[in-house]
Amino acid sequence: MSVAGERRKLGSVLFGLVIAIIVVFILAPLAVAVGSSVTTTGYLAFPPRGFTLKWFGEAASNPKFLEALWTSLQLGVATTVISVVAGVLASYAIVRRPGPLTAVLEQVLLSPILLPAVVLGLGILLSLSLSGWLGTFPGGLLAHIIVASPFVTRSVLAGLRRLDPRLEEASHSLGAGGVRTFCRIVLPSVRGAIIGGAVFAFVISFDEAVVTLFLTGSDFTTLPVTIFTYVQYSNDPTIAAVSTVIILVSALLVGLVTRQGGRDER
Amino acid sequence: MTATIALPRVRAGAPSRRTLLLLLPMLAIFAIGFAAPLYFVIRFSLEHFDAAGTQGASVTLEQFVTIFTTPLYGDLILRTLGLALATTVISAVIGYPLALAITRGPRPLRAPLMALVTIPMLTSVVVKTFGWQVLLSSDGMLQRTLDAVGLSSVKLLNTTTGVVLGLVHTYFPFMVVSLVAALSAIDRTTEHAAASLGSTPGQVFRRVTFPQSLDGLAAGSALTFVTSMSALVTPQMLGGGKVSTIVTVIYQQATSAQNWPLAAALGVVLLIITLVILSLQTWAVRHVSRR
Repeated sequence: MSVAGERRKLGSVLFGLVIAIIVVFILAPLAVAVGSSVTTTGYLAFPPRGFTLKWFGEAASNPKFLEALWTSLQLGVATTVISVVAGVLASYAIVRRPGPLTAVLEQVLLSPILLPAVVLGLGILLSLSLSGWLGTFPGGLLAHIIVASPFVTRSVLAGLRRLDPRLEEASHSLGAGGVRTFCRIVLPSVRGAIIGGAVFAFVISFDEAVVTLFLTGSDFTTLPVTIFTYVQYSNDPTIAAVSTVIILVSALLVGLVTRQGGRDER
Repeated sequence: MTATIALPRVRAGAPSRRTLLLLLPMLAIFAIGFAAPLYFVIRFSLEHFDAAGTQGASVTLEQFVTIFTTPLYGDLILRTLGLALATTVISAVIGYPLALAITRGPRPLRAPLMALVTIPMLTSVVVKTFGWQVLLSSDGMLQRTLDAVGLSSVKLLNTTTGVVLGLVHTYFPFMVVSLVAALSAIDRTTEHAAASLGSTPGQVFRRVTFPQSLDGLAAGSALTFVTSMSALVTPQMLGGGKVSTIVTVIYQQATSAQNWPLAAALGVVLLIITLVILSLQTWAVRHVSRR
């Protein structure tokens, strides 16, 4: 083989090695969280020693984790439902009435993705404590909708913009009213975008920690915030078991969206 | 009758009543949950801090004067920017090869690699950071490896090194996604043309591929910079109180110290830095593409 061919081969081997290292880097902390959840030691150990599921039992019998999980699930569902309803309506208005006003509005509705979450958390802390809603579920819900709804809006806006407006015109000219056209033509056509946005909103809400850290109280705390506080004082593998459950929930949902996305493209 | 009158007005682009009705739910949510909070952050940043909690009616710039005249806060801002810069540079260095592999690597590997990049984006930052905590701790695998090869002076947990490692892991996927978008938008015929005219793969990359991906690199860098600058969980959990940033200080001042005016003023500083970086990126992209 020529020298140039040898060099190219060496180059692609090196490139492959770099990619392999990056893959290990991406998976390392997740592998550690899952791995250390089955250790038989009384403290966090990776690689785990032995195999036991007792820490999952410990987590499931700890009312603190159960309550937080229940709150997180309720919060995630409520956030998703409200974000989808309000997000779909707003996106439809923005796409169907293009103009300088709706263009600015679009930027505002998407801006929580880029603006620092701490500033939002602090601001909501200030307004909630002035109105007496700090440390309550509705206060947390408001914050989660602000953080999660941009992902619904972004996804649905993109879906609506791919939609052929002639479909709606045809529906109108055949005598269907605005509401009927919206429900029968528009909504089914952007179903994939809505589902994708909804799953994203749920995952964002379920995993959110930064804004929520500012807003929790004794009556209101979520699973990520509970983990955050727990690891500062404790070193037992229960927290690894809880983390494993969170990873599985996220992975399951992402898998569902990926399959849904593939179906839309076909 | 009403329909024929309403129609031209709608066509003129004025927001109809129906449009307003559609926008109403989201507008109401954003008014209470977004506009009002931002107003309060700005309003409180202009307050005088009083441990007794009484609120003054007057407007003062004393929080900003404190921030910009106390070396402690100057260091804090510089350290935060430094952490974000380190995170951005490392993310670009490891994100670029990965984006190349996703767009130009062996076909069967492309989709799995892309899925792999989205995993950290969609896993709870608390869970990921917890994993790093275990891995970086003094009896963790990485630290023991370092100790074994005689690098025991390098500590990982509760150091800047550990925080940067965690930040890169959390935010480099944003860089990869931007780069993948830019690299897959490049017209491959330009690369083939360069190659058929006798350029080596290295020259094709340097002269054709890389220059055309600069937009994506700028967008990814701006996004990685502003998001890693605003991280709270990673510096808090991996810094162990030894690595403070603007954000961790805002959190401490807002929750345990209850010094809302100072927290709010630091928040305004962070917000302004974010807006400046995002506008710079928009300007740069426009400037480059106009040429």
